[in-house]
Amino acid sequence: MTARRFPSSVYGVGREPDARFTLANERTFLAWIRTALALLAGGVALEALGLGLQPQLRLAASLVLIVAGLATPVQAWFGWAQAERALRLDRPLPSARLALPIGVAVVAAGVLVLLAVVLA
Amino acid sequence: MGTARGRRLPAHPARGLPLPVHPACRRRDAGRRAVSGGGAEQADRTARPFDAGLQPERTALAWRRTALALTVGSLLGLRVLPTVLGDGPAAYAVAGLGVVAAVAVLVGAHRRYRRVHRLLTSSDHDRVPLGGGLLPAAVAALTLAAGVAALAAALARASGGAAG
Repeated sequence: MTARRFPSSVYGVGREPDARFTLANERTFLAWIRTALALLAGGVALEALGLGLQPQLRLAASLVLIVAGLATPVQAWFGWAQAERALRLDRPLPSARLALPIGVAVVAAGVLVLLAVVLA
Repeated sequence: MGTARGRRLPAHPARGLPLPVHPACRRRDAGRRAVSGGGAEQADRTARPFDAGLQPERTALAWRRTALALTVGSLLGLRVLPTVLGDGPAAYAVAGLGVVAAVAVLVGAHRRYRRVHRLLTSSDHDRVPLGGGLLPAAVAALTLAAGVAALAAALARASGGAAG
């Protein structure tokens, strides 16, 4: 199975890593994707469920979650590509760039929702 | 190449674990076994998991979970998209496309796993080229599209929808 794989920026360098590492990288990517879908669902639910919250704060919380949900699949893809390249080149793996921003986004959304509840 | 020739796959505790093998493959393997007497171990290897940690199987399950999340997201869109696209068929079409795409991911993931399993069990080393980034890229693009739809829905709801 030596057909050219996409993207060549990843598969054109280095040599094949242990299959287990490739599979683990794939699972990590999929976990980020599911996280993104959960963030999007949360953001949509805040607006779509007709909750009796302060409107502007509720919209702000919703947008914070949705923007996080938009950024996550993008970084998930690039993170997967960088990790795969690092595995092939036997270099240290990149750190999880999404972890801190998502944590901040979720906390921010939570604070906004709390305020929206209090000031409803 | 640096790989250890002659290194056997580690004996794993899953000996005899019945992996769902397609009946056609089982017949074919049984036929091969009959023809080439000493090929019993080779045929057996495809019937068992490659790795005691079940990594390919866990990856296949992760793909299924993701396809499920995409399906649920598409169905959620069915409820939410009419505020953006109106009550007409447009909303149903988009949500329907999402469901079709999620099913396509499921099918693609299944084929991916079967190929990974076949490649790994038929090789005598671990550095086997597996699937590429096409399916991951498609999934990331799909999720991004869902995000755009979510943004549109939230903004439409906030500006035009029921007050408060």
